[in-house]
Amino acid sequence: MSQLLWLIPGAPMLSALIIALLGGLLQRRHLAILATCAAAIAFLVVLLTWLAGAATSQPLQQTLYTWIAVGNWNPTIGFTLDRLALVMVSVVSGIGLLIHIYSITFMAEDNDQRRYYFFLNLFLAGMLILVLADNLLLLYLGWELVGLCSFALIGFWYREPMRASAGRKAFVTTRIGDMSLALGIFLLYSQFNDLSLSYLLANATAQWETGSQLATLTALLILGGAIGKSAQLPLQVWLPDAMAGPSPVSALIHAATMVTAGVYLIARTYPLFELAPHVQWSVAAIGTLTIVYGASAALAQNDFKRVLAYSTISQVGYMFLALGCGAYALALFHLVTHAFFKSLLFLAAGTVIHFSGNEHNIHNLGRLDNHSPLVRWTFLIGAASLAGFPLITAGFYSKEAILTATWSAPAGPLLWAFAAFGVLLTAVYIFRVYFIVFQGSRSNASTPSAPGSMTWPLLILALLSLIGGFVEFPVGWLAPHQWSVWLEDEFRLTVHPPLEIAYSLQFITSLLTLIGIGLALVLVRREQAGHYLTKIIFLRTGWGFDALYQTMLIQPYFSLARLLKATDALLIEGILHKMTHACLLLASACRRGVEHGVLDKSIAGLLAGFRFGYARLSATQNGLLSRYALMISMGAVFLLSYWLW
Amino acid sequence: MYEVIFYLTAAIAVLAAAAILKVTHPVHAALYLVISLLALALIFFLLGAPLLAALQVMIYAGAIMVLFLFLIMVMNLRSERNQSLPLPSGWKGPAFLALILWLELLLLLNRYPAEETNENTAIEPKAVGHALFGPYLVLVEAAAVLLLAALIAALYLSRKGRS
Amino acid sequence: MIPLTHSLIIAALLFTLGLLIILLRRELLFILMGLEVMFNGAALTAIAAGQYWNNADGQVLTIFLMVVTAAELAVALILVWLAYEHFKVTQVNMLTQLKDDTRGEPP
Repeated sequence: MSQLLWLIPGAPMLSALIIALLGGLLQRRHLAILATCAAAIAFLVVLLTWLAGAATSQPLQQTLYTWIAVGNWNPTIGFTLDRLALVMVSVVSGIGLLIHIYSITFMAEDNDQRRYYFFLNLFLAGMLILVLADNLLLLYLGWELVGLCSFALIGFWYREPMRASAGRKAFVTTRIGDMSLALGIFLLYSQFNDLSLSYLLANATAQWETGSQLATLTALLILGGAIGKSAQLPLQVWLPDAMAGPSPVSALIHAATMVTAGVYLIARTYPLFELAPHVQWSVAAIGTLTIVYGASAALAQNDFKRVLAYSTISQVGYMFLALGCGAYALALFHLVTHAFFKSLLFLAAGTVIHFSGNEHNIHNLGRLDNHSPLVRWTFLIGAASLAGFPLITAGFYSKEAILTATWSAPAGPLLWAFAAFGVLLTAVYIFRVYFIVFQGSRSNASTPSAPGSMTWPLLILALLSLIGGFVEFPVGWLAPHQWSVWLEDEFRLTVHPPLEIAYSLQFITSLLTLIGIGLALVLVRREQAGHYLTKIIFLRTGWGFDALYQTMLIQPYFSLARLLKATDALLIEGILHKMTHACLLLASACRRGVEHGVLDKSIAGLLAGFRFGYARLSATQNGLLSRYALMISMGAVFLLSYWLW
Repeated sequence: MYEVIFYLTAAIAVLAAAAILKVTHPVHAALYLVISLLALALIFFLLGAPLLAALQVMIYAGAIMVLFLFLIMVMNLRSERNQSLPLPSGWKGPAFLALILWLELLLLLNRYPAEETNENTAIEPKAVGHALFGPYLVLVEAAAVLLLAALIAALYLSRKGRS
Repeated sequence: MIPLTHSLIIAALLFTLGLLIILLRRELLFILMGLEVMFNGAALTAIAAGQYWNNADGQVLTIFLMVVTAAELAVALILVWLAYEHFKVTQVNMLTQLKDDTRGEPP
C-alpha cells in the first residue's frame, strides 16, 4: 500500500504539468475533465489506503528519493501517512474532488481555463505534499506552493486592478508568516542538524526543557507561520480581500484547506508547543480574540462572500483555541466539520452569485427572490451547521467539544466566555445573511436550474455537514467517542471539566445558538426597516485593521521613500544646479568686469579644453567591437606587466 | 620521432591559425580553423589525453565547424563582400600589443621552472569519467543547465514571426 | 619527452594569435573563429598541465570548456545571423549602435 503514496500528490502534480505543457493541444472541456480525473485519482488512492486499513495500522512510509545530499544531511522526498495526515489527506482530496467537479460548470464560460486548472491542480498537489511530508523541508515546499497558487488564484481575474492587488496583498501578508516559519526551520536545523519530523520532535522533547528559551523561540516562529497562513490576528487582513477569486477557489483554498494549514502545522509540531506553555497559551488567546474579531466583523458586511471570509477567520480561531488548550484531536475534528460546512456555504453562495449576474450585495440578492430551493436548503443546512444548531448538525458537536475542553485550560472560564460570545455572534451573522438573502425567495418559473455537476457537490457536502459530527459526541453522553479514541495514539487525551459543569456548559451554548438565531430575525426586521448594520464602520472595515496598517506601516514607509527622494534631489540635483549656476554667474561677472580681458579668454579656453576632452573621451565610446577588444587586451597587458614586475 | 611529430603538429596548428588572419574567403578561414583544431587534437593525443583528442575531433571539427559552414552557406557570404579589409591599415599597433602579450605570457609561464622528469603517461578515459562523475558531479549538472539555457536562447532568438 | 614549457609556449602562441584575429579582422564570423582559437589555446594549457601533474582534472576542465564554447557559439552564431538579417552587415564596423553621439553639445 505504501508504494502508492506518491500518487496522492503525484496525480494532481502530473496533471498540472500536462496542462501547463500540453494544455494548448486540448480542448477546454477536456482540460476540466483531465484536472478532475487527477483529483479523483488522488481521492481514490486515499480511499484505498482507508480500505487497506491505514486507519488502524502503523503509519505508512514511502521515500521516493534523496532530494539533496550534502555531507551527512540528506533530506528526502518522503511521505508519511499517520492518522493526523490521513484526516488531512481525506479532507483535502475529498473536498478538492468536489470543488473540481463544481468548477466544471462554474468556469465553463471562462476563457482562461487552462491557467485555472493548472493552478487548481498545482494547489492540490502542494497541499497534499504539505500534509504528507515527513520532513520540514518538504513541508515548506508544499507550504510555499499553496501560497503561490493562492496568490495566482485570488488574482485570477487579474485584469481588474482591484483583484490583482488583492492577490498581491495576500501574498505579501502571508509572506511575513512564511518568513517566520522559514526562520523557525533554520533554527531547528541549526540545533539538530536534521529536519526529519519524527527525529526532530523526539529529540526536542528529550533535549529541551519545558519553558526553555530555545523552545519558546521556535514555537513562536512556527506560530508566526501558522498565523500568516491561517489568517489569525494580526495577519488576518488578506483573507477578506482574497474573496476576489472565483468562488470554488474561495471554497477550496480559503475555507477548507489552505487556511487550515496553520492548524495542521501546529498539530503536527505540538510537542514543541508543549515545551513552551506560554506560547501555547498565546495560541489559545489569539484564537479567542480572532473568534470575536471575525464574528463581529462578519456582522456588518454587505458582501455575501466577505461575510463567509470573516466567518472563516473566526472559525479557524476556534481551531486555534482548541490547539492552545491542548485539545488537538478536537481542533482536527472542527477542521473537518468546518471544511464540510464552510465549503458548502461558499459553493451555495457561489451558485447564487453565479446565477444572479455576479451580484455580491446581500440586500440586492434578497430582492431577486428567485433562488432555487435546492441552494436555499443546502445553504440553510450549512448555516445551521456553522451556527452549531443543537443535536442535528456536525458543527454543534465539534464546537461543543472545543468549548467544553476550553474550561479546564489556564484562564479557561475567560476564554470560554469569549468563545461562547463568539457562538452567539456566529448564529446572528450567518442567519442574518440567510434571512436577508433567502427569506422572500420562492420557487417560480424564472428559477435558474443548476446543472448536476453543481448540485451534486452541494448535496454531498450538505449531507456531510449534517452527519459528519456523529463520530464524537459531547462529554458525558452515553454515545461513542470514536474520534478522540482513534487519535489517542497521536495526541494526548483532552482534559475535561467535571461532568456537571460540562452539562451546563453544553446547555448554555446550545441556548446561545438559539438566541442568536432569534436575534438575527429581529435584526433583519430592523435592517429591512432601514437600520443597516453596515453603518457601523468600525465593524464593516474589520475593526479598521486595514486603515491601521495603512497609517502604521505603509504611510511611514512611503514617507521614508519620499524623504529619501527629496534628500536625493536636494543633494545631487540641488547642489549640482547651484554649482553650475554659480559658475555661470562667475563667468558673466568676470566678463562684465574685465571686458575682453584675460579672464574671459581663460574661461573660453577652459571650455574649449573640456569640449576637447569630451570629444576624446566620447571617441572611446564609438561602438566598434575591435576597439573595445583592443582596450580589454591593453588592460590585460598592463595588468600582466604590473604583476610580472 | 615522437618529438618530431609533436613539433610538426604544433607548427601546423599555429600556422593554420595564423592563416586565418590573411585569408579573405570565409570558407577558407573555416577550413584553416578545422586544420588548426585537428592538429590540436593530435597534440592532445600525443600528450596522453586520448579522450580529449576524440572529443576535440567530434565537437569542434564535427559539430562546431558544421555550424560555421552552415551559417556561411545561409548568409551566402562571398569573398567580394569583405575584400575591402583583409588587413586594416592600423595593424601594427594590435600586432605589437599581441607580441608583448605573448612575451609576457611566456615570461609568466616560465616563471617557475619545473624539472622535466615527468614521463608522459596517458590518462585513460576511465579516470576522467571518475573525476567527472565523482567530485565534479554538480558541475556536470550545472553544465547541463547551461546547455539547456543556450538551447532555449537559441530557440527563442530563431523563432518565427519576430517583430 | 616534451617539456611542459614547450606545450605552454604553443598554447600562448595560439592564444595570442586568436587575440590578433579578433583585433584585426572586421567580420563577425572571423571574430568568432578567433575566439575559438583562443579557447583552444586555453584548453591546451589545461591538458598539458594535467598531463604534467598526472591528474585527470585538466581534461575535466577542458571538457567543461568545450561545453561552454558550444553554448556560447550556438547563441553567438544566431546573433550574427540576426545582425545580418536586420542590418544586412557582416562587419563590426557597421554595428555601432552603441556609439556615443559626438555631434551634439556636451551634456
